[in-house]
Amino acid sequence: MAQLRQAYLKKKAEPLQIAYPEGWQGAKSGDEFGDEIYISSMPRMLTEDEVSLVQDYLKKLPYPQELALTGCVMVDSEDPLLQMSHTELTALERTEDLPQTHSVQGKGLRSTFDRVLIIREQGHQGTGENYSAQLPKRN
Amino acid sequence: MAVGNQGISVYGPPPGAPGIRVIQQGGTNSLTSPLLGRVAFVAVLKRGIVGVPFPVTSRSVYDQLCGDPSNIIWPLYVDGSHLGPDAIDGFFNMAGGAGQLWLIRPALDGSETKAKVTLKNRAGTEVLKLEAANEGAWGGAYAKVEPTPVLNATAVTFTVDQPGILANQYMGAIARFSGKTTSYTVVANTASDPITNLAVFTIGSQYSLLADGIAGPTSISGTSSYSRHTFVAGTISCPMQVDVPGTVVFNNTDTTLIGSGTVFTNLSIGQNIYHLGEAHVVTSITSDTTLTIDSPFSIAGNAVTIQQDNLVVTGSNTTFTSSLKDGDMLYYVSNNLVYGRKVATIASDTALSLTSSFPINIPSGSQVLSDNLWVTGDNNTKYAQELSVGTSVVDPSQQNETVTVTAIDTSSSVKRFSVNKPFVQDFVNASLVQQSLEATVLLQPPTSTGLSVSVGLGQKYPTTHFSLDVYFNKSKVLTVPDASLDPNDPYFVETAVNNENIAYRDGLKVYQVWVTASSLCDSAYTTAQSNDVRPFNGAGTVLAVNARQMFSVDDFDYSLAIGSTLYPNPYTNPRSFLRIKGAKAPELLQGTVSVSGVQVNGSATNFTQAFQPGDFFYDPLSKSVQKVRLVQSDTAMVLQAAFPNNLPAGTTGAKKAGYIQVDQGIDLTKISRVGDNFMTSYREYFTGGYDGDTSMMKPYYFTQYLSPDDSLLENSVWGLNVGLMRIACPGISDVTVQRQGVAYANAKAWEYRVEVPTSITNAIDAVNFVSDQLGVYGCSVAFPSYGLISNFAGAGQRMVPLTGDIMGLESAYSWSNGGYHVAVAGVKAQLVRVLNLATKLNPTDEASLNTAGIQSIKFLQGAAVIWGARGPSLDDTYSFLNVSRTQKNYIRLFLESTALNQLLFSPNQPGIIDQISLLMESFARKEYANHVYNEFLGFSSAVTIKVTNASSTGGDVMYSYVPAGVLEKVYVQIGPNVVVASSQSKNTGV
Repeated sequence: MAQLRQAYLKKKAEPLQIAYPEGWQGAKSGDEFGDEIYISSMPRMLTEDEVSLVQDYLKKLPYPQELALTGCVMVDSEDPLLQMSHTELTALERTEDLPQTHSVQGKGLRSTFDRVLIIREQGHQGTGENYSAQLPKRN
Repeated sequence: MAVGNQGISVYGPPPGAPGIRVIQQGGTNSLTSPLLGRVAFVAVLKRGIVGVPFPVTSRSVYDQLCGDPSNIIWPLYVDGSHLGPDAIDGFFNMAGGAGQLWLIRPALDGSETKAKVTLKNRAGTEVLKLEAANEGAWGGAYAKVEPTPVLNATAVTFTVDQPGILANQYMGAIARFSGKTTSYTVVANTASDPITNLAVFTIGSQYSLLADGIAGPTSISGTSSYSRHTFVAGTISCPMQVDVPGTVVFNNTDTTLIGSGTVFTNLSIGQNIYHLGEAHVVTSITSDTTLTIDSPFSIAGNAVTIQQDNLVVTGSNTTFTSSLKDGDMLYYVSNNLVYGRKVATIASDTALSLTSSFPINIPSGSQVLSDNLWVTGDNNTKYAQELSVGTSVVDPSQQNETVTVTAIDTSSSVKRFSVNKPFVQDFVNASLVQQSLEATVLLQPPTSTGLSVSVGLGQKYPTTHFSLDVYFNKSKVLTVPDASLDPNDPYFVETAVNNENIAYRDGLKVYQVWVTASSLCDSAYTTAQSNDVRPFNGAGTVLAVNARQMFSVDDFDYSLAIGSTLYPNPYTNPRSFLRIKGAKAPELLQGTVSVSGVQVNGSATNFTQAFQPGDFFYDPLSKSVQKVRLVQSDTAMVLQAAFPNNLPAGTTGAKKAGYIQVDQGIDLTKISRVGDNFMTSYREYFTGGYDGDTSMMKPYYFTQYLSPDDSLLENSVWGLNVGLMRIACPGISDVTVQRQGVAYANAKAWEYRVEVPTSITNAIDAVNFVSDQLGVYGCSVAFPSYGLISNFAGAGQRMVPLTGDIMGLESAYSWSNGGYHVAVAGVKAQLVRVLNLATKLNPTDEASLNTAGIQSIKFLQGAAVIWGARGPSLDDTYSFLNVSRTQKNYIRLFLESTALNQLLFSPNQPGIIDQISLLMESFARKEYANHVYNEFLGFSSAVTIKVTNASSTGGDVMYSYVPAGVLEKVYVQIGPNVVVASSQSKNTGV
């Protein structure tokens, strides 16, 4: 499963049915054989590729329309960040100028899954290779 | 002449004898023109029968079946997520009462649910289910996620493990977290994963759960260790049995024991007594010297000593009063077996009693254990910083169990914290996880929205029947004055409700408008006070009453009862009722209580918050109430009078009584007494309705109704003489649906109206879209297909498909032309509500569009008009929509004609050809007279009918005509001396 972002049409105009271009190789949020994206003012999950496709399509409309992101991200189960240690994630956050998420004030330490969710929600799209390479691997 | 359409009756004697034969023969002019102007939409709707085509003959019928009769804009989606209802508005707006609309509300992903309410009788048994007539949140969308731990949290999302949550079901709901005061508005949620049950909620971006300290489970720094038990200081002794004081006489044939010097009243019924190792149960205690047991001892005893279970523990160097408390467990280990018993009361540092005896002797000098509630940590732990009293810690041995932190010891050099109950087992150097906050999500629709029902006494038969009033939003939509749960009663509720609000019949299947009733009563239908099985909104028993208040503890929604009807004595005065002015629900007390006389003592209770003097305390054993005289503390208060019996410690189920209050000037004490049964009638709301996941629409949701093989629409209208159907999926401009729609329409000789997406902003692209992507003919299409109208929901304009407006205008034109299709174009073909268009056309665009069969929509003289009368076609003749519609209408007419079908099984009969010829010619002459054919030609030139010989292999009917009213070209020559105009009509037809 590809990483998904929750999105909706910001302007309450019309629902759009956007066909995948012929031969499109991007990741699909729904059926592999689906031929279009239905997007309206009700939030739904889209892959990063679909977000780009929709944003490109919106430029063709004769009226202003935006694809709004709610912030909700569903990470890919094979997201490389999920393999990183707390130390590696901390290094990533420090280098990428992201908020530190290692601990919760007065509550202890977050799980790595929570941290990856937050990092992805912040918009970071990296693979984490630089940070894991800089640091000793976990056992 | 022999014909197929005839009936023969013979009157007189048996065959062979003279008599009279009467032949009734139908006239030849029996081909009836269909009523034109039928339109069908496949559209997502908030309300309406799902998956079945149904007709709406007017706007008011539409509001009855799919809308809110008191709010004309209710069917529209404020957020513009679906535009079908906008098109329907446009259709009715332009049709002006002409034509008929068939609607198909598509079934979606199967998650759609109907709202429902289940009504109980006085005894609390469910007896009547009322279900919304069709699926959707319209019936009542109330839903709640009960407190459940947060598993993950980011700035704007949190995840819970909860099955049954549907996609975006909680949009607009309020989320709250335990221990936090902030509430958060939910903007979206995913459906529960079918395997993991995980559902993700998204809150508005103005919030930050990270900043508010809301997180999933967090690890506590360092490692912690725990031992399940701890030694109790000192040693104890606890024999298994002790002697009963005095001596006893009994024989081996009788169950009576006679004592001497005994105090049997210190024993209790049900406990064991022993003699020579033989155990018997005390069944009654008559006096201090007489008791009976369950069966005789096998050996008689004369002045013998009997034993009883020992409940007393004696300590040596023990500190019971400080190290233990009532309810704690004591454990004794023998032969690797652990025996545990609960402490009943602690008498002193060296004496305590148990609730039950140990099953073995504990010799003097033995050490016993108690539960350990302290966890110790290594030097890396930060209990003081990371934990607080009330925090839940996950048991590392049992992940779904948590314990609560009760204290954090910062004074000791050893880092440790205590918990409210023991962990399941020991752990060493474990990394503990702190449970997260619990989330509650509540979707509470605004007041007076959705379906609700109030139940009263029967209007005509108040003592034996009940009445139902069903409301939708702010309107009463259905009244059933008398109903019964008896299937043999003429007022049986299923008949009374289901037959009173029929929306549509499809064969044997009947679809209701508002609600469908199902009786759940499987017992005899009785309505006396002692055994009334009728449903109620609220019913109860009066526990105390004063002038304006009636106290009770019954299970109904007291808050909804405010402003509604109270029947104080429905069984003695069924027509007497009052208005409820105030109400407060009963409250179940937290903790446990004991009552001795007028003194109430509590354990873990909150009397100071729950009670004020004058409130009523409910005793669950006697099922009665007493007024509270004084609240002393959270664990002590005094009643005005005692209950019949004291309540033992540990009693649960005590309540603070609720009440119903009536208006000033009414003295309830004169019309109601303690023990009377009352009932209330209020609007009880339906819950659980859901529209399905309308954010993830698939083409299949529409194309499933556009299948030539499984033609639901054709099956529904077959034989109804509707002729040509003009079909559309308003607001759906994709290629997949529209291609299927056009193919379906062509297969059925109907017409599908195509929409060009708004992303196409010039004529050439529109032509390419129709010719290249759809690659179809036989449809109709206008460009631009979308326009802007005044926004019903506020300032600004609203983008809507023009499909509905155009098709409505076509119906109006057809209706005003005697039912015949005419060209709907020109300066008068105004789409009156359109304020602006998605795309502005230039005059040069019209030439491209016209030749491609696309109707131009443009502004002329201040109004949007239809400037084109053609549709995409392979043949020029049929490019004119009115011609192609007439042609398709004939196909449907002949296909479904009863007169022709009657001849179907009459080949080779004498005169069959004449019959068909006459039938067709009669029809053609009528059409000719109605100016359908070229009136500049004589009838014989305008129409040709030729019937080949009908034989066993079949025959053919050729029906050709020259259509009228088709203006193909206009020539205007303007010169200095002459103005010449001429026109040319197409003159071929088949």
